[in-house]
Amino acid sequence: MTGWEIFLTAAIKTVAAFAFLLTLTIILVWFERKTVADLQNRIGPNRAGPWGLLQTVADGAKLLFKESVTPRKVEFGLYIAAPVAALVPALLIFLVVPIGRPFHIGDRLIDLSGTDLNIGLLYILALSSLAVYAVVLAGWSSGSKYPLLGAVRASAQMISYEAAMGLALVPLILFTGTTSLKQIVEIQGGSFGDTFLPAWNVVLIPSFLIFFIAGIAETNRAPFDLVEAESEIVGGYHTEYSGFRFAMFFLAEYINIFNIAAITVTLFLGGWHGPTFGLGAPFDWVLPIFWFLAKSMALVFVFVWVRATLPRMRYDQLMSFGWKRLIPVSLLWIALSTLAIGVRRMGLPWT
Amino acid sequence: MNLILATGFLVSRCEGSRVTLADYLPIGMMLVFGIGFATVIMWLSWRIAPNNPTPEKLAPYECGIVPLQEPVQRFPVKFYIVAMLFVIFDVELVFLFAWAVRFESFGWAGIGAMGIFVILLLETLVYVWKRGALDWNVARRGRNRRIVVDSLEDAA
Amino acid sequence: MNEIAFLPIAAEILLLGGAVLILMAAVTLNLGPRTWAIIAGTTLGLSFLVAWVQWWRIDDVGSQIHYTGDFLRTPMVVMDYFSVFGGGLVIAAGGIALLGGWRLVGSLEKRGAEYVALVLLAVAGLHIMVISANLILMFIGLETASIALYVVAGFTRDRPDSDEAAIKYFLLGSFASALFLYGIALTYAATGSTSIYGPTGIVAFFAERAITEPGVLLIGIALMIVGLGFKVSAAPFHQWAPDVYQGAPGAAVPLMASGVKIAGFAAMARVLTVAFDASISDWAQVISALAALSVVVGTLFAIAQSDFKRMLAYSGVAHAGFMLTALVAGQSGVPGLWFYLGTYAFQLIGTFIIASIISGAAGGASPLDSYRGLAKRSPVLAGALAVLMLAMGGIPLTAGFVGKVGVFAAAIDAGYLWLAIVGLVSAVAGLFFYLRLIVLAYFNDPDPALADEPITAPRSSRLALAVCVSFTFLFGVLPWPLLNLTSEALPL
Repeated sequence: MTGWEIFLTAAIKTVAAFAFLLTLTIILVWFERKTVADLQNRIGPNRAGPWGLLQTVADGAKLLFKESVTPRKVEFGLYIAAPVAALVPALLIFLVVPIGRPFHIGDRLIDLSGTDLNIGLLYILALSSLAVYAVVLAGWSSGSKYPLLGAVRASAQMISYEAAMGLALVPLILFTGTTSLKQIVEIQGGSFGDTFLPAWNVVLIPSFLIFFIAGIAETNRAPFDLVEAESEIVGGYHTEYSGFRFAMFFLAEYINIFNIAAITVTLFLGGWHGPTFGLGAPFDWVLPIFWFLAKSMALVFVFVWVRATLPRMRYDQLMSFGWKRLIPVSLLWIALSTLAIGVRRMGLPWT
Repeated sequence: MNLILATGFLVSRCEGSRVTLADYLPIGMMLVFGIGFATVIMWLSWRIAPNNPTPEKLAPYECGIVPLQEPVQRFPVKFYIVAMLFVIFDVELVFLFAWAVRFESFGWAGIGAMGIFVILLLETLVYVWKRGALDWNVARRGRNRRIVVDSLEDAA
Repeated sequence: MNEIAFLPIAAEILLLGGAVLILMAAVTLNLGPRTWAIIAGTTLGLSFLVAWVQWWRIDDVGSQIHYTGDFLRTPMVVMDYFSVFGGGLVIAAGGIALLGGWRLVGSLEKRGAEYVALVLLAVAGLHIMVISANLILMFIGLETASIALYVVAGFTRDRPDSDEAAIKYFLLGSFASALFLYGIALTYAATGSTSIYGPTGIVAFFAERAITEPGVLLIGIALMIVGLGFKVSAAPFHQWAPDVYQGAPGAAVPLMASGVKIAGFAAMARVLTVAFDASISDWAQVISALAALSVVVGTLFAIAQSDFKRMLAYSGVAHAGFMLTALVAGQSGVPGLWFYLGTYAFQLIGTFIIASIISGAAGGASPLDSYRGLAKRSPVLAGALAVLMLAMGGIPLTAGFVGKVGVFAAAIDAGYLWLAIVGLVSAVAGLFFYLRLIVLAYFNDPDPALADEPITAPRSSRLALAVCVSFTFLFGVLPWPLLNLTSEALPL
């Protein structure tokens, strides 16, 4: 491909991903409110648009017209940088997730992902650590008590669960032998032997569970939402934010939820793989996108379900769950899976 | 136009290797795009939203009362220990990832070496755990528990 | 790739395993200092035994370089007489230093396990410095040892001067480590390798071609000299030594003072006389200037001290100068350096053990006045002190004399007569403060407040002190066994 084509492809993919994420956020917020309302025997938003679908748009417009208060003791530069620092990594992570089967335009094969990095998993982990900066910057630069407490808690929580998250991925890399998300999805095509069971990486059940739990904690969602425990520290790190500056944190949170769901689907649940029923074009690339979205939304539903069901953990429970349960279990699981995969691929060490 | 020329340059420089810097082009674009979007929309919000600051509105949030003191500047040392532990485990992770991608070519010797490495780090975790650095519940820790329990018994 | 030679790194494995075992025994099984002592003693003893095995192995099959990396091209560890002798010396010094300061461990309660483990790790790091055939590995060893010792320096954290010592040691030490690392980087830039040996190593590089523009290389060598010069406390990089020796826990100082000097000089000898042998005319001048400065500054400042540990620190600077004097002769100075190091290390450990007996294992100040009339309070201790002081001063019939003769002979052979004269004059001037202690101990009455207070020394300290004193005396009268050993202990 020439420079022109590469540039154009990249530009189209970026704009598409951006538009997709913004639209998705609107739907996700509505989806969460509706689902929680159902789970709690309420009705939920039903005025703006059909089934209240436009409620999020209305909220966004409201926030745009709201005053953005800048408290007195704020370090303005960092204070204004924090929402951006929250939003940008969330947008960037999504770029490596393949959302559908690659398709041809002429003789060119176009991946349905922003980009395919051979260090995909490292990239994801690196960017999700960057999210900590936004929280710490927001909390510290606010010059106020509760944001600071929330930020310190959040940073400790996020880095604790990030260690578990990374450890959970090691067996997966052992299993697939790559850190590129595209290849990880490709490996999951087909089925196990002659059975009808799809060859998804979810056979690494502990990895899947640990990764997903740590993902919930990474996004600071219930039951790990100590960061914004309103009964103790008001709004946590974004207490002093209002107007659209607050909306950016909100946006980042929902994009991150979808990111975690999408990455979990990609890594463990077969990504865009699913039955295409031999329907031929255009279904052989429309259906994979549908499967990907359906699986991701199912996981998002789990997010919401967990939030509606479980009470918030205490801080000491949170930390000891991370360090004393998840990390030892993932280390043990690494040992077990290494031995199993090693024996399977290389035979017994003494033969 | 310059951007396009630069793209061509990147591609031509990386010809032959499987990974090109052009793979990172969408990431760079999204970076610019994200920052641009955030800047524009915050500017827009600043233009169209009202701005009526009052001294009370600008005070740091303290549930409606006048803040008496500055936010705390010092934190329990445990947060720092968590940070250090995180660094240890993250470094471990970097080595584990690099090894896991090609673990077959290192064979059982590689698995053994990695096992020793992981056990050493596990030992760190066990030591820190047993010394109580991971206990966030103050009353559960040895000496403090004694103090708490004693004071409770005194009160009783 | 699949063949790992375990013999050259057996000592490190043992020491690391020992440290792990001690920590685990302390927290999981709640075992006390006695267990730690058994584990630490076993590990150190076994690793010393490993040194003997390695020596025999070299007798049989010759020196070996162990490689790693793609196509086994990058040498990492070298097993030659030099590394075995240096490694054995480090382990022996570490063991005796730990034994001499064991009293501290009991007073630290649970943290004592950490202390013992850190000492073992420090010894392992120092050992790596001695055996490494690669500058990067040398740096890793240096950092392992340094970080462990920074922590040890601040171990009695309820004393402000211990904290001060730790912070000073840490800040200046990390600065020096950074300089050393930068030196490695520049050397890499100039020669294209961080390995000393091997087909692509620095030695091979110099054998194949001459450097036409040595600027980068010279800066690299200079930075490495600065970095290592800091660790061995050679002037003008010595300012940390008095404060650290005085503030750090008294029982921990022997290792900090002696072990680091051994490993630092071993690394310096390996880097300068092997890797950069080709440019000896360049660095020998720098080393001779440092040597002269160290002996003069160390002696002059030591005279002015009123605290025993500070005096020892400055005398250590002077001794570093003497050892640098041997280094100007290149490889032919190595035996002299080894003999001096091997004997001085034990003198230093012995004197610091005495200091920790007099002024407490936790340490702190030890004013010279507290040694007044020591002979009346404890004749044995005073005798030991006298022997060690005479040896440090270089009086005949002690090991110190033989060491100084070897050092000066090497310098004169290499054409540095002026350096030998400077050293000789300083050595004579140095006698003043060594003899002053003997005078204080024997010809003065004790402080009336202290006169009746008995001096108690635990058995561990007495044992370690006895070893140090007998070494000093033995190798002064019968230096030949050690001289033979050191003349063999040349780098590959």
